[in-house]
Amino acid sequence: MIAEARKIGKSYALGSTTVTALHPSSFSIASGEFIAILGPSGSGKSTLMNIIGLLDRPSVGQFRLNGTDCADLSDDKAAQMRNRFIGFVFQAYHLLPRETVLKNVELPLLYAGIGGRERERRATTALAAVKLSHRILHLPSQLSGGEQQRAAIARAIVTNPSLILADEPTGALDSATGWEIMRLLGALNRSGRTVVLVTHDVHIAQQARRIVSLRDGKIISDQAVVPGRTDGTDDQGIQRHAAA
Amino acid sequence: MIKGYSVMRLLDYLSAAGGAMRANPFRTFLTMLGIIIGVGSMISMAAIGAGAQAQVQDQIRSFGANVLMINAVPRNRNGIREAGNVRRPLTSGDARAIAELGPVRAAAPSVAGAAQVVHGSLNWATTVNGTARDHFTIRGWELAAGRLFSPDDERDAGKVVVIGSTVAHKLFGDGDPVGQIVRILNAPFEVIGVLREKGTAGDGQKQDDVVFVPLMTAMMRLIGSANTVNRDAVAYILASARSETSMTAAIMEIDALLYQRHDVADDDDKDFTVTTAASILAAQKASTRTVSFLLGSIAAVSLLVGGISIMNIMLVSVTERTREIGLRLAVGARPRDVRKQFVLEAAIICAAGGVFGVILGGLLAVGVAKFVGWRVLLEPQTALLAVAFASCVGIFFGYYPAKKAASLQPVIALRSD
Repeated sequence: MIAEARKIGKSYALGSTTVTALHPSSFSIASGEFIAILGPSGSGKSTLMNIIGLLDRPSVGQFRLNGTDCADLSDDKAAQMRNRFIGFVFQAYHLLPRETVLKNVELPLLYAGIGGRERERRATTALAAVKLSHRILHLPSQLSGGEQQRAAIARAIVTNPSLILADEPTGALDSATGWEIMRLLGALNRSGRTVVLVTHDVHIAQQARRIVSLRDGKIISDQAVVPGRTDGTDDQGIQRHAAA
Repeated sequence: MIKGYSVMRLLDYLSAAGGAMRANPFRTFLTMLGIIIGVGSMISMAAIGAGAQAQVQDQIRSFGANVLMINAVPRNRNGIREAGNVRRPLTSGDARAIAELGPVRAAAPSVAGAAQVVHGSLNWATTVNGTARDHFTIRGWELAAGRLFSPDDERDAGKVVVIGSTVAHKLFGDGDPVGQIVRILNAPFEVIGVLREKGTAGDGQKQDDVVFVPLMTAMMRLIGSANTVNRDAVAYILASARSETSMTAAIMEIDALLYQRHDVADDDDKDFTVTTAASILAAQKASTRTVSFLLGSIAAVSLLVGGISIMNIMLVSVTERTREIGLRLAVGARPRDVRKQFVLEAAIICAAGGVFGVILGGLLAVGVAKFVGWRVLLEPQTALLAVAFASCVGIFFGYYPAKKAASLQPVIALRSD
């Protein structure tokens, strides 16, 4: 198990009322899986992803990443685990606008304490893997949306993490480019990485091999996707996993 | 654990910090302005201070550590300042009496005037100084060639002259002046000696551009008395104490002697002054102290204001770059990495401001030297110290914004637009 959640929930105090973003839910992610977390906005899917990505902590429950209980993790230790185990891909790319593509991709290695020459070598390799070798010295603003997202994916894989977290990676792209990004994520999964994809789009979610559906902060279904099917809403031929 | 995780190289921080500055150069410059002015004042203050110090040291060196100079001044009588012709001017008699005092080693009366000195087809306008041979002993001034006045020359108002090295060069080039004849105010004088080069005095006076004749010669043949009424008046008396420790005693005894000889009733009635290296030093210090204080105040206020503006702009920068901070935290920056980045950024802005400040201060000092005429001296270690101090201002005022940046929660930082 790369990740294991036991009755994790998240609620915020908003003035005098308490808003529950995620009701206590349990699930686990095995190594090598390709999971889509599917749900409309406000369903709690981003909250779930932030907890998996150690960007946020659950208010209740226990979450283990790579065998480590994340409850008592210090900020420093959490940063170190993000750096080593997780690669992030965001809807808004989050590339630093003033740095070249190469420097952007090097960034996680910088915080891993890796020297300049080695950083450059690894970043170049990662950029070749996403077919951006011809763009390494450009600024993000000189790239198309699809290229920016590919650069972001290169940044996510440069530390060779076991888990890729993609939060609406196709949300800002046209559908053709979106499919291209999905194919890239699929290839990463086939090469052995665990990929967790957060999306509101059923068709995108069906590119994964398992779909966890959320609504109103609750996991309403957790199903494997039958290869070949494109309509994931049909109950037929879908294995049910235990939902909390 | 990856080895060396905690080691993030300074250079990497620097490049991260430098990028932010390049993004908005004009704003960065405005932010620096307070630091630039602060360091600029600091540097010019130090340059003026060091210049004054060097000047005083030079002056003491050229004046001589144990030398006393007695000048006549118009006296105040019942609050009324008397005319330039003092009633009882300094005389060679005063000089002889001073020379007899216990703590005094030697005393030499002097008169001085301007004159043209001619040799062959060459001529040179210079200062003619009539004095006694003790003058050279007191000032520690040695001969390069020839001899000084003999007692006969002094008694008989001999037409002999000892010339400074500048005059020797102007009239004789590389030739030997000793034994040659020069004309001063059309009277022929034999050059008996050439003085060793002494250099420029602290007040900018070229000491070697001078000729010396015996006092009697100057008073009878060239310049005349320093006073139109008293034919024995001299312009000033130069004396030297036996040692540094006998300076105070020498001043007191000279005061007492001249009070008596000049019928001085009380201090208000005093018609002479005794100047020493120490009194020059005090006067110099007083004149530069005011300016130093002023510049020091400007420096302190500017650095404070500069520091506050750094803090202000860093706070703005943290807000503007929330997403960048969020991303850095997401990909593995520890809070302290973010804090270091922002502190370093503030330090670099301030250090750069410090460098510009040093340049500004240097220009200011050069301007003061040129237009006010003060000596300035800019030492490299002062410049380094100023830049280091500016960086510390950056670290101090950048710490709070940096801490704020480091305490951002990544999930909230990434969400901001």
